[in-house]
Parts: sequence; structure tokens; C-alpha cells
Amino acid sequence: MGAGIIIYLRPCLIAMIFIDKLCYTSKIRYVNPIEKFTYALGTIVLAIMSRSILVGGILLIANGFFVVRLGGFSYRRYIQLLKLPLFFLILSTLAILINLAREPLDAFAIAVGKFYLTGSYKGIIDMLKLVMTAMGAISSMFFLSINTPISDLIWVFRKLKIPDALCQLMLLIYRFIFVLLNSAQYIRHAQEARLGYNGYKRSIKSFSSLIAMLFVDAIRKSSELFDAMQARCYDGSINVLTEHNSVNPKRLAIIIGIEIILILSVMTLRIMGKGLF
Amino acid sequence: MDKYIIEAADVMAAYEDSKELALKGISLTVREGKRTAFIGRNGAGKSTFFLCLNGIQRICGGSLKILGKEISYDKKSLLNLRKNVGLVFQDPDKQLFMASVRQEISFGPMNLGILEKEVATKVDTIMDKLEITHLKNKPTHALSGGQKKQVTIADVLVMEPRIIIMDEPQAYLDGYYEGKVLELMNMMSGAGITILLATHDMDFALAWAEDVIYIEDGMCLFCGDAQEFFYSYMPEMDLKVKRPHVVTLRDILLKKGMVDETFMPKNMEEISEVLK
Repeated sequence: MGAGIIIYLRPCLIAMIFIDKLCYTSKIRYVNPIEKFTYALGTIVLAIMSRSILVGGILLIANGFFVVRLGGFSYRRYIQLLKLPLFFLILSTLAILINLAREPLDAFAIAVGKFYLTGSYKGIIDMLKLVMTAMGAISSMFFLSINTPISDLIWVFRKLKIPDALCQLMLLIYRFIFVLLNSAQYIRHAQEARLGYNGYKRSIKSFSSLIAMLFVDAIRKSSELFDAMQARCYDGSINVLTEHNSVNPKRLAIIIGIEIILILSVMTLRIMGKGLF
Repeated sequence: MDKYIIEAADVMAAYEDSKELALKGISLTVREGKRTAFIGRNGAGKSTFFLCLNGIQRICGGSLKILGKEISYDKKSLLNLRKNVGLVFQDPDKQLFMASVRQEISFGPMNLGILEKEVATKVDTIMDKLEITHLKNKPTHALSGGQKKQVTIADVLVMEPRIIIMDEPQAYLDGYYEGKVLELMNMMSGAGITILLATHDMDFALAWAEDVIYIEDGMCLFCGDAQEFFYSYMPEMDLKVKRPHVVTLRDILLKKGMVDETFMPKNMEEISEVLK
């Protein structure tokens, strides 16, 4: 089980660290986060509401364009990032596509004894819609996360009147991910150096003690961090300098314009009865 | 006549989760504007005393005067105390928590209620002084150990304290960053800031400090001149700390009759002068 968790978590953590590094090098890092947030939130809602292959595709391409042209990242990096959610999406949507039935369906059928592994055209379209909707929304989320540092996002949440305690918690959790990752790495190396992962049983035991140690470490480090914050006059609210430009009304208008065009396009397609899109 | 910036008399302190006293009646004085090294074994009480000086750890007995005022724990007094007494922790990861370096450094002055524009100027000036401007947009977790240490010092310096406490400033640093941190400490000392630091490096303590405070088992056993500590007090007492190499060398020279007892070098350069 321990090994399973590591296999599942490792790529997620690598992607997270990768995204964190990217957002500090983005060319549009200093663009007001409200503009980026408005665009991302609007397009995510649009992708989910429309459940359309076309909208998902447009968003994928548009976000790719923005990330590459405006953010200054390479296509290769962007595609590399999208691979991870795509992999999980395909795995989870296979269940929609493939059925085990006595009768073959219209799209494809593979005989397995008396049964068929089979799928319908409707199933394929449903799967495609789901994958494209999710990928469209994820690409918008990536647009926001690889162009906006966490402190800016938290600033937006504060503007949106999300409770301060929650915002501070988010910031500290973010910081602790890296602190604990560091600790986990040290413990893991210490365990590996003494053959702690030699064999299945020993791996499980080592992994469970790693988790236990991390838990204790997290409590100790949080108490020490609180002391350090108090030493600098912390009074229950984290206030720091804002690191971005003010809202550009022209750009905000363009963003809202793009959102409206997309909404109108979806509505038109729906009215025209193009169910496929 | 020396002015004392810290006066402790029979200070006692205990941690919440422990029945034992961590400080068992510390009495000492720290001279204003001087460089003072705190020496003692791990667990002797140095770090606890430092926390007391910043008001994080409350004292449970005795008297502690900082900048002439008896310590008190109401909000206003604590704010004033923490503005004047900066604390640089041993492990930078315990201190740094903001996403970017510039924001991290701005945390202290923002808490003092200074206007954002003024804070920005202060932060930029201190980064410039410490030559870390190139790090300003970096996330704190992406810095090297030495860079983190520089940022933690900037964190405290930006609040313009009169006393800076550094808990083992050389810990986790390579030679290059040790030199950088030493430069910073000399710069702060030159600006008239009183610096207190804990160290296990006796040669460094002898070379750098003007005064030494020796703490053992929650008590202060020595408080006075650094050379007096290393050349008179330490040889007489059976202290649980290592002798500086400079003192050992000087004793060899003394035995060979090359120097007399009044020769009390602070560093290797002074010894090499004699050997020349």
C-alpha cells in the first residue's frame, strides 16, 4: 500500500513543484491576479456548463496559446504538464467506454468467451465530451496556476472575502508542503541508506514510520514557525507587500469580451442542435 | 561607564510541557553596542534565554530588563520589545514562510503598522545593502541554505532593531556563506547594533566577541570580557566546552618562552605575527 501511495503521489508532487517553479518565471506573473483569476474562473465555468467537445478544444488551444505566447513557456512544457491529468482522465473514463455484455454494441466488440468487451458510438462521444470538458477546465486552471504565485492567489481570495483564517491556512499549508517534502526526503534517504526499503514487508514498515515521523515533525515545525512569526510581531493576520500591478481596465474588458464570445458561441451551437459539440 | 542594554537578575523560565526549569536563575548583563557570544553545551539554556529576550518564552521568576524597561507581556509592550529585539533562528526553515523573498522580508515591518509604500522602500534598501536584490522574486523554498540565512538576517534587520540575537548563525553554512554572514554581523555591529549570538565555535567566539557569557545547566557561570574568559576563567574551571586552538597555540608559545602571560591573542593572525 505504501509503495502504491508513493507511486500515486510522486508524479503529483513533481508536477506541483514544477508548477510552483514555473509561476515565478512567467512573463505575466505581475499582471494583476484578478484579471487572470476572472479569465480562468470564467472559462472553467464555461467548460463545465457547456460540456462541449468544441469548447473544450477551443479552451485547450487558447490556453496553450496564452501560456506559450504570453507566459513565455515552451509548448513542450505545457504538453508535459497536460499529460498527467490526461492519463488519469483516460483511465477513469474507460469505464464509460467499455462494457462487458452478452450482445456486441455498434462501435466495437472483442469476444471474451461468451461475453464481449464492447462499446457504442454514444459511449465514445460521451467519453470524448467528458475528457475534453475536463481538459478544457484543467487547461484554464493550469493557465492560472503557472502564471500566478500562491501569494497572489491568496490575495485574490482575500479580496473575495474568503475568511482570513482560511487564507492564512492555505499559505502555511503551501509552505509546509515544501518543508515536509524536504524532511521526507531526508528520512527516506536515511532509511534507504540502512536498507529500509529492501523487501516488501520492510518497505511497508519503513514507509509507515516515515509517515509517523513526518506527522511529529509537522507539529514540531509548526510550533517553531509560530514562535518565529511572533518574534516579528505577528498579531494573527499575515500582511505582506503586494507584488503585482493594478488592474488594467482595457485588459479586463478584453477578458470579459472573450468570455462573452465563448458563451454566445456555445449558445448558438446548442440552438443549432449540434449535440456533438 | 558602560550602559547595559540587557539586565537579567535571577531569571527563571520553564516550558509548558516540562516540570523542570530550563533557566534556573540566570543573572547577567549585556553592554550596549557590544558583540556578545553566548557559550554553553546543547540544552544549557542559551536558546531559551534568547526566546525570553524576545518575549516568546515568558519568565516565571526574577527580573529581566531590556533597554532599561522591565519586561511585560501586554500587547503594546510586546510589540515594542519585538521591534527592538530581533531574533534570527538557527534553522532558516523555521523562520521563512512567505512565498517570495520580498514578501518574506516585508512581514515584520508590515506588522509594525508601517505604510506599504514605506515598507517597500525599507525592504528594497535592506536587500540592496545585503546584496540579495537578485533573490527578491524567488520563492523562499527555492533558496540555498546560505541564501536562506541571508534572508533571515534581512527579515530582522529591516525592522531596525537595537539588539539582534543570532542563534548559531554559522550552522548549515559553507565557508563562503560563513564569510558573508560574518560580514553582515560586522556591518550591523559597526552600525551600533548590539549583537548577541550563540556559538559552539570557540575560536570564532574568541576572535569575534568582545564579551562572553557562559551558560551551564540553566545558570550563567561567567559574564565578562572574552579574553578574560578564554585566558583566565576557562583554564581554572573544568568547563564542558572545547578550548580554542588559538589558546592552545599561545600556551605552547608561552611554555617555550616565546611570549609572556600578557600576550592574549584573539586570532591566528596575531599568533603568526609573533612567529614571524
